[in-house]
Amino acid sequence: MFRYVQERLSRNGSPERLTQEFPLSEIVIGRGGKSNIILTSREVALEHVVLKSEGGKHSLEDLKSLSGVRVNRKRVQVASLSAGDTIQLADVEFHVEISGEDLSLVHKISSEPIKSASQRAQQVADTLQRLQIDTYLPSMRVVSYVGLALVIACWYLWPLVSGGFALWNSGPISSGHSLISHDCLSCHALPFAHVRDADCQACHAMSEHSSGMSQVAAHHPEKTFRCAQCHMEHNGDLGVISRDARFCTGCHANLGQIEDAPKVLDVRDLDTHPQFRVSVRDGPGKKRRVPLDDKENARDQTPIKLNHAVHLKQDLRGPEGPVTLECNSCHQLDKDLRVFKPIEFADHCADCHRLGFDERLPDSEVPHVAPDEVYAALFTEYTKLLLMNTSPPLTKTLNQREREMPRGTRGTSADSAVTVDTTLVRASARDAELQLFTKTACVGCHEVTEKPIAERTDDGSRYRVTPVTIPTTWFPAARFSHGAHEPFTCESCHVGVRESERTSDLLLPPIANCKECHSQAEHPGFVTSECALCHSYHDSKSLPDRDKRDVTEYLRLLTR
Amino acid sequence: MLVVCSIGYIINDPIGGRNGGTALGYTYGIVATVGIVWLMAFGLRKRAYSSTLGTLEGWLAAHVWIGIGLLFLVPLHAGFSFGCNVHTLAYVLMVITIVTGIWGAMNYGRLSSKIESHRGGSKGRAIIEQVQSLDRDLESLITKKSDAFLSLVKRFDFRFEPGLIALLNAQSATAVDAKQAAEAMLSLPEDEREDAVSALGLIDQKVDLSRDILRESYIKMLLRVWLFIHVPVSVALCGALAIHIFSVFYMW
Repeated sequence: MFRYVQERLSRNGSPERLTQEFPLSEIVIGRGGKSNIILTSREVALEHVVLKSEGGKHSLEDLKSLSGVRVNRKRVQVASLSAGDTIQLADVEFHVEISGEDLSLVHKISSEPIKSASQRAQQVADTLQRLQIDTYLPSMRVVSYVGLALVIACWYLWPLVSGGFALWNSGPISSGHSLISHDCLSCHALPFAHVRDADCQACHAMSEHSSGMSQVAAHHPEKTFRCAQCHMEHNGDLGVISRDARFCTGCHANLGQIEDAPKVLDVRDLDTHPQFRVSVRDGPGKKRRVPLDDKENARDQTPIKLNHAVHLKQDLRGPEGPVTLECNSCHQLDKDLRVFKPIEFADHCADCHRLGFDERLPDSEVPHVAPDEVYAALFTEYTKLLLMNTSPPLTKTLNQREREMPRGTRGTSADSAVTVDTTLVRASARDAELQLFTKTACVGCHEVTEKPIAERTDDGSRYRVTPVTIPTTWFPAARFSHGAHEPFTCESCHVGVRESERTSDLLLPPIANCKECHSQAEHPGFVTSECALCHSYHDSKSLPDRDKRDVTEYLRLLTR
Repeated sequence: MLVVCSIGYIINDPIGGRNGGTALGYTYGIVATVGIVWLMAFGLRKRAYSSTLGTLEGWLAAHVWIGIGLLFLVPLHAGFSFGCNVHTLAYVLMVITIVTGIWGAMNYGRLSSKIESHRGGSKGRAIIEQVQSLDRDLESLITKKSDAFLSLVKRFDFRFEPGLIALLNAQSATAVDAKQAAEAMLSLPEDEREDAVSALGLIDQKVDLSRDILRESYIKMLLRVWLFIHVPVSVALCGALAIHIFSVFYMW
């Protein structure tokens, strides 16, 4: 006998069994009316499977259904059944219970076979729900809070806790500060405060800039400057050492508005840059700044005599034959390739301008030193000559000298051995001095004056040479590199050198020469030139070595 | 206003270059911050149904145009300098917020008129109930029919259980192919062919209805989904903006 047991939960939740008995030896399960057990599933065939019972043994056979029969999840055509087996017909599942010769097919039904109106409404609501995007996405509120929390955690809390403020970096650090780019607090020591000068000077104490800035502050007593106001970091290499002309023209375009301003001309830009001015001597100890285009007054008063026209002639008489000088024969670049080495007599003049003083001493020359020392050298040379007693002309000169001396001043025969000798040497030295200083040597280049009688001494020179002060650079407030202009010939800028016969000729190029190649604005074919190309910012001197900081100390500061 | 700001940006050439730390940069930053606060206030205004503080349409128009303006104003504030930092993060979040907002606004302008239910068409609930009704009719039709009938129905019928993929694709089952259906009906017993035609008709109706509701649901999805980016990102933007301002003055 077969039993069909429908097992479902009642409305009150208790299990409920509905049993239908079939006292037959075989039954058919299917969807069709001819089946013993009729199922409503559309997956089930009209006659799906037949169950047989024979001699206490039970079996089933698939009636060529489309979806097939599975026993214990395994598809079968014919199978014997035992207690506990599971039979699947498409989407319908039976559990096999066997009691003696009776086989029960337990069909667990999870819900009411016929849906109630409320269940259908629920199904509609579920379907509608599935048609809304909100169903598949997390709550907008939750996502908002999570996103906000992430931003706060990663970009606010993490920098504060870890001390790594790279995520707050507002722009690229300059290459000069790249060593400390990871340590924001080395500059931003105090929160919510401007970068302090002390933080800058922790490393840059070696700078003379502060003394230069004191000049600026002197003209603007009402203004206070911080380093970071001008040296703006987080802008790459453009900001920290800015070459912006407005740092200069902010004041220099109109210095009249500034109290106690320095007496320099206003400059707005390179185009309106006034003519170069040089300092020339204006009387003893006085100097005057004169523009180069003031031909009458712009004259070099340096007390030295040099004729460029003569020196640049071809085939000059040299010590070893004809010599032709060029500019760099005398003007040689210093090792910084910017300015020239000072003109030295020994290096640049002595080859041609010998300081011999006596034909009897052809190998002797006086040194190129102060007059007193020249006289001392002469005295020494003549003393040596006398002591060696190898020079009859000196005696002759002595006799001549004695005859010229007034009576009563001549030496007596008793002390003639010493007196005559000293007098003779001194007289010879004075003769040579006279020749050197006034006729043959010194006077050729220097201003030589005779000392007043009151100032003369027996051991000193009777002449005075006006000190020579040739400037190393004529424009101390500017930088100019001759090395950077090497492609150009000297005379392309220093015009008229070969015609210059007077030392007072200032052979400096005017600013118009510069403007042929330099322009403040960007122009094709011109070198863009801000003020800082030629000028320093209120400090151009180099710091003494004693104030420079050792690199190890610098590194220690970085790693503090 | 953008033109004025752009001219100001071009004319102003501060020492050290254009950036958020100049006087003009601070000015534009303040204006942009006020703008963002205004944009966020729209979220409150649209829920304040009794508010008389301007019309909601006016607020929405301002919301859109101020948002578009900020896209250009903020780069002027920053001097077009961007990097891997919280400042650029705030800008990126703002761009995402505004772009999604523009997308949403465009969707409303383009799609809202296409929603049938807004034009007196069937509501989604009614359509689903119709589908259910068709299913029941189909069930009753196939009862006690031959397996060939059943397989024909199974071949063309579909279960309407839309999911995310169907929603994103806005596609449902394909319509019944008349030629294939005619061929399949040849294998049916004579007495079942009339019911088979009815069944295929029911299935066709299901296809039409499911297409309608999926199309409408897709449109509603487009009108809604942008908010899932727009709103959370705008909240994150507020956080990033606050950190941007905080960090700038912390590291003054």
